[in-house]
Amino acid sequence: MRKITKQVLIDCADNLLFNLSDIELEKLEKDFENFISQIEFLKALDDIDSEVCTTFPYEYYSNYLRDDVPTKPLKTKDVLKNVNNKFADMIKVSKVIGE
Amino acid sequence: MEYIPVIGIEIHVELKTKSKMFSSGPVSYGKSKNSQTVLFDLAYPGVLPVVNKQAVRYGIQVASAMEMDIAKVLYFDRKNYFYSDLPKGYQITQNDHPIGSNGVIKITLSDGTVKEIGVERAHLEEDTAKQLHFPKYTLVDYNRCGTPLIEIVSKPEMHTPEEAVKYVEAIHEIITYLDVSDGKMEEGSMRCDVNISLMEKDSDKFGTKVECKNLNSIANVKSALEYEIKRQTELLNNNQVVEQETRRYNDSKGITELMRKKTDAVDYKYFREPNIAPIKLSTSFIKDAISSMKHLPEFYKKVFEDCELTQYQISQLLPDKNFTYFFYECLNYEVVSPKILWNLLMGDILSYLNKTEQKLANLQINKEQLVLLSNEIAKQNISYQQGKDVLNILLKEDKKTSDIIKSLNLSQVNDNLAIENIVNEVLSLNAQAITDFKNGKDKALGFIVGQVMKASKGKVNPEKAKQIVLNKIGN
Repeated sequence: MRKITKQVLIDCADNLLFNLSDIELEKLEKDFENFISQIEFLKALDDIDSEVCTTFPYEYYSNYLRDDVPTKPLKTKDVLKNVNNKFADMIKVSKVIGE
Repeated sequence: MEYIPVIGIEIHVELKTKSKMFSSGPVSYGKSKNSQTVLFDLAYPGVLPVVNKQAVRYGIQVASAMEMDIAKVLYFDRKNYFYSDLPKGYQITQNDHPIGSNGVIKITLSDGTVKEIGVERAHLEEDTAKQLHFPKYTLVDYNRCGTPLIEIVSKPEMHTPEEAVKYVEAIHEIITYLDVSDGKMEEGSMRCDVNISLMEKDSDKFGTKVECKNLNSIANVKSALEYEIKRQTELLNNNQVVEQETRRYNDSKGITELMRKKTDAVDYKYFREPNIAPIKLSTSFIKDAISSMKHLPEFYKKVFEDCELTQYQISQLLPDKNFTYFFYECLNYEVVSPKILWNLLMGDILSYLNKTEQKLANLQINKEQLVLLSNEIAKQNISYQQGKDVLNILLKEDKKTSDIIKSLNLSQVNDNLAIENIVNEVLSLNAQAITDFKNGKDKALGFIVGQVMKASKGKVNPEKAKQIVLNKIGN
């Protein structure tokens, strides 16, 4: 596993366009150390492949289902408000799958 | 080497709800681009999914129609992938716990054999945005994004294109009769992906699987499979390998074409959707969904068998629920001969609809008057030919059958002596036809009977006329 150093964290923060203070950097590095030690602990356990992942912290069941009633949709001009590249009321994106 | 095709089918069905699977965005077709979305569909920060009750009811109904085990608790999962057709970066689906599992579809093949095809699972999920691809860019319309889907996955238990076609037809009948979907393949509300491989005869080892995507008609399912069986057989017979790939069917060329090769299975990093807690479905909710199901084709098949329609006649009615409902509603009146009624509906009325480019649902015809017309023909009060004239008026005007018959002065001549007089007259004028018939030209008989019908202005009973002609010119 790649070691999470201060420099790695700074690079990640740069990529995500925010700055980290020295105190935040210290704290984050400790958090990662703690997190990675937990992962190492789990990796050392046997026979956990068949275990179901814990998604919810405690057993809870809902019985709520939404009635099938539509609400007013957003106006097209609002949908496209932040779109830089558009054509015929559609969002124009780079093609990623070749024909 | 002889090979056995192994076919499995995945079908995506858009459910006919008013709102989307996990949002209250409207589900509507043909609206202007990007005009049918709400914040959730566009994945704005902080939005949360809420499951549509009607979609769940439809899911239970489809699962029940396929005799599946129905989940008592609903779980949803995230299928993670990064692509512009789903702005959340994942699709909410059911990976481990589908709403229905272990079902069966019964199909009847052309030789009368009934075969059961296993259905592995049916799960609820959300549809993606519609994308228009151009050589250098893609345009995205998010209207369809979030529309409820049920995906039905068969077991690989089909071995011929005919079995696959019958399976798809059966699913189409189920979803349209239940009225949970339009089932319009050409418009994308039912979409088919077919997996096919060839297995050596007497072997239990599956061959390499090829996936054919987005087949937009039942005819294309058949053609694509026929082509793939031929293509893969040729490859194997030439000691070449069938590669694991995704192909699409080219309608105009009648061939499948490579879309992409599958090197490794895509890892979608499925995990449980944390924003939807497991939902317990009460027994009463499931029971209520099942008890409010509309009749399936099997119900109508039994009714039609009871009125002695042939299997062929039934097979012509069932694929289109509108014709089934129409015929079934006609049976509320006293029908003397369902077969004559069927002939009027599936012969003359269908032909009228095709000519005038109308749909049965929009046809203004009084069913009671149609039944009375078929009864007049069945009782031989008027000939079928005369009945057609009456039908032409019934199709256009709101009139009573009895009034039309009266106004056209129609009645069928059944009196043997009267028919014989007309026959004698026709025979005296058609010596050549008599000679032709005696020389073995069977068509001459039809010609003579036709002349009798013409001479009587369509009024004589054609069966009786034929018998009298035969008696006279003999063998």
